[in-house]
Amino acid sequence: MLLPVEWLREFVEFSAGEDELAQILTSRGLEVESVKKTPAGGVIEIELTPNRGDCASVLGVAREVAAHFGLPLLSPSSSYSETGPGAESRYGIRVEPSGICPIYHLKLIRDIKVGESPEWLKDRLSASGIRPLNSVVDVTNYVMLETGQPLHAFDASLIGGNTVEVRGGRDGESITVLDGSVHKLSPEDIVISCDGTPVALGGVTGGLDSAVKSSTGEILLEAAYFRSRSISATERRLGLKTEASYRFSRGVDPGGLLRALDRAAHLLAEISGGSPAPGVLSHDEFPEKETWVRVTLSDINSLLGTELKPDRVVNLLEALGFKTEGGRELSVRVPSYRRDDIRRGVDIIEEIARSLGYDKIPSRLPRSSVSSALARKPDPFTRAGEVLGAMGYSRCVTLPLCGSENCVSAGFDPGSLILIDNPVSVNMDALRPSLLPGLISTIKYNINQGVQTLKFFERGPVFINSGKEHSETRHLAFAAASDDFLEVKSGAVSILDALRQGYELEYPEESGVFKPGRYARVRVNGLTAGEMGIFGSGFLKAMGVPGRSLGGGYLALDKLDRSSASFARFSPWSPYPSVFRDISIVVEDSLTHSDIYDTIKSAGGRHLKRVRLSDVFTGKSLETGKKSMTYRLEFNSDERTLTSDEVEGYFGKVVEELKRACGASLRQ
Amino acid sequence: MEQEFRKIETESRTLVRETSGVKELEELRVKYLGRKGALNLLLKKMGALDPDERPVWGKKINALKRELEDTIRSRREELSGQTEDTGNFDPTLPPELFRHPGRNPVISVLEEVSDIFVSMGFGIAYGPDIETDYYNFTALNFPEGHPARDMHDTFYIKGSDRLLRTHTSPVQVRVMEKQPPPYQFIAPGKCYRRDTIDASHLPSFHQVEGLMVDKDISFAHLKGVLDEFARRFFPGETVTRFRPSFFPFTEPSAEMDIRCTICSGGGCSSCSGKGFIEILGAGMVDPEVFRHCGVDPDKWQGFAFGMGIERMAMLKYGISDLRYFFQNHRSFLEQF
Ligand SMILES: [Zn+2]
Repeated sequence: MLLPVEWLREFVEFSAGEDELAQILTSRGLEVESVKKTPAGGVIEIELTPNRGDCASVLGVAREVAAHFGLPLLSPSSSYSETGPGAESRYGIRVEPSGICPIYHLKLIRDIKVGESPEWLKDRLSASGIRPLNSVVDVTNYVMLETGQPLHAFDASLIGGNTVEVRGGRDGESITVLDGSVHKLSPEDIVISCDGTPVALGGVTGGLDSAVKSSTGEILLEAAYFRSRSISATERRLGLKTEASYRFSRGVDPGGLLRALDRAAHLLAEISGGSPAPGVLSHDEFPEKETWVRVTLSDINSLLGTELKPDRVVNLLEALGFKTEGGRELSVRVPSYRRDDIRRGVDIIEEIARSLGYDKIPSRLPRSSVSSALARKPDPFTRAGEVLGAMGYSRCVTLPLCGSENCVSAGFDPGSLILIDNPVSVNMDALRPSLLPGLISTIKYNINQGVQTLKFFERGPVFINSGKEHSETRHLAFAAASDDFLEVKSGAVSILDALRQGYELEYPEESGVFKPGRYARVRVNGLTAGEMGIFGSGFLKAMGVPGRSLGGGYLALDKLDRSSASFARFSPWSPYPSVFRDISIVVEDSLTHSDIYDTIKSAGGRHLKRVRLSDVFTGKSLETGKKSMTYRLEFNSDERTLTSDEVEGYFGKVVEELKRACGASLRQ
Repeated sequence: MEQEFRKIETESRTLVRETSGVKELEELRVKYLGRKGALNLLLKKMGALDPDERPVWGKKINALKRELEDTIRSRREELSGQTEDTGNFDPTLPPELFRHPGRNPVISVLEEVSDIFVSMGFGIAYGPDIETDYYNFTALNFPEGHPARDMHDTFYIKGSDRLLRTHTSPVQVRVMEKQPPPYQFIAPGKCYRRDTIDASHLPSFHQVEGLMVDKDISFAHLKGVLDEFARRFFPGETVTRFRPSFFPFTEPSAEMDIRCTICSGGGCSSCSGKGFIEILGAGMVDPEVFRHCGVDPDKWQGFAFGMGIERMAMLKYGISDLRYFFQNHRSFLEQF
């Protein structure tokens, strides 16, 4: 909302400059977005919170300024003389159903000569961001800016049937409004209609056909009170925001309608030669009841942490137009322009705090009272990030939204996706079922940016539709430019090792988004807890990185044992030296490390502590279809130094078993 | 043989003892112990000896070899540090560098903010990203028809009445429902708003919200805790300002600004001329919210606050565009 400061000075005679004024308004909850200095004076832009409809006007802001400085608030002149018969002699109002518009007034003004407005009026409108049109429309806008009450002027000669109806829109009905746009109406919209034809969109804008023209000689001036919720719904549904709807959707002062009509009549008589008819035509079923709120001084001081005295509280409230009774037990009458927002004791306390200034409330640290149930527990998975960091992976945060079509073509089950009903784009119409697509997109982006180090990881939620429920689980995933399965495996296995997590690996043929034969699955406590591998070409093509070699994997953190990493117990190690033996064997190519490892482990006896593959070799010196593998065996006892004869015995058994079970021959 | 050995023995011992430079010492090592050194030549000459004498001399020569190796080594240690010979080595050569992959700025700020509140005695609570209308809006006193509830602003889940939470405040409701006051915790997590991506909007971002409730927690405590937070989070002298605002779930509501460090409050382009930069929203928990959670508002009172983590990271690190946070450019991530 734009506000020319000189207009404000008409109602409060304060001496502060624009910048000081801006600070004061901001400190009172009317946030000043900018201060523009023009030759005609400063213009401030205020961003109103939705609860402060009372300040959507020059007079509303002036009230705050007057309260701040303790100055009187002056009123604009609104005197005029009435002539001729009243409007009721020719016109009537029908509101149907009556609840949709609690107050509806029409004032008839004759002998209008539509012309150009005087410069001072046009200047104020322009400074407030409204284009001057003609002396009648300008006055309605001027009074709206000044009082906060939107007004509308109908050309009376274009009102057929003589009855102004306020009703809901009808299906199939449409209206061409002042800006020329056409809108289809629905029963939720409020329509002003004459002879069955909509002439205005209530609370938003007028119809083009009933607008004031240069030939207009008689007008009906409308001042209405519409409910804010209904106007904001229409505003959003039709995508139509106007100065009027801005004010109605924040709530106007139900006690200010007649004042606004009088002010407009005064101005029209002055600048358009108008002759106001006596009285107004009214539909008024607004409950007259005053709003009184109770609040105690101890509630006020307890909530704010202040030590305010009763007279201070009374002064603060009365400066804002509240009436009070009592001292420590206060009864407060809420002025009509605040009755939408203030209904309870806390609302009054907020007014006191605001009027006092938040900067006057002390700043004090409380005693801490944390409950152990919510005390922060150590994160059991920090080591996972440390391991990946040490391997050179950067942690990213990608958007948890993805494109369902893209996910399906990448190989994810369409039934498992959780879809967004109202997405902003097709690329973000589902919640991600996996962290991997986001990581691949990250790699793709970095490739396009010429980045060399393509190693990324992410930790965050993934979302699966299991049919029965929408599950959210936490994953850790990593991806890198690599065609080396063992490099990828090293990432996953090193994390599990760092977390001291027991696991098994499976090598199924069905490999999902990964390449067959370059894929492994992590099993923990009998459940799948992760996958790893080199990504399949179909997946990479769907992800927009065809022809690239990328690998990665993920761990489902919720499936891991949370206690394993965070809870460690000391165990002593053997003080006796280990004895090492190397063995090189030649076996069939089809035999796996895992087979050989298991054979060695089971044949080596209880003192065989570790078996490490140190070399794999295939080459010219070997028969085709054979490979050579070298293992280093570590023997150790917790109780004594092992003798070399003893170790020879265990080693001999291993050699024997490798020959028998694996068909191995020793290589020299 | 005898003569030759004695000569080498005395001469080498003296020379090694008397050398004064590492370079000379190395020359002596080559002279006596090198592949073609004096002692190796002597060993080769043993072929001419009587077979019975060979092992005796072999032992003697090898013993001298070991002795010389030891004295040369210890002499070298004595000499090094005095007149070290630098040779042709270029110490300005670059070593192989471990390039730290950086700390993700969002995660980093999320943890830093959490750490500050934890150190002030706050616990931590979490909740789901997929929420119900009740926890996200109704329980937090958003009226029916509030713009935030609109399909324009909030993501709804297809085929269900669920939505993606627009803030982490629903966690407050869930905790208050489950356990009795007092409360003092923060709720960090992801939030979603139906925005298209641009420099200042992302459809998903992170928030840390907090709640402190007890018999006597006041607005003064709200200011105390948040002042303390701002002083610890922002470097240098931090000046805060609290001003009235509006949220459906707090009353009174406030926004906390910090004075712009670039212009010290005078107004500049960084603070769009305002002199202050908005940091977070806060307020005293509205009695309606307490009632929804089964907490008696006549007995308990307290404050809630919430801040956007990406926004905090932007302010802390001087990042001007929100899009950096989800693009994950390696050069971006490595900076923090
Ligand atoms: Zn600045």
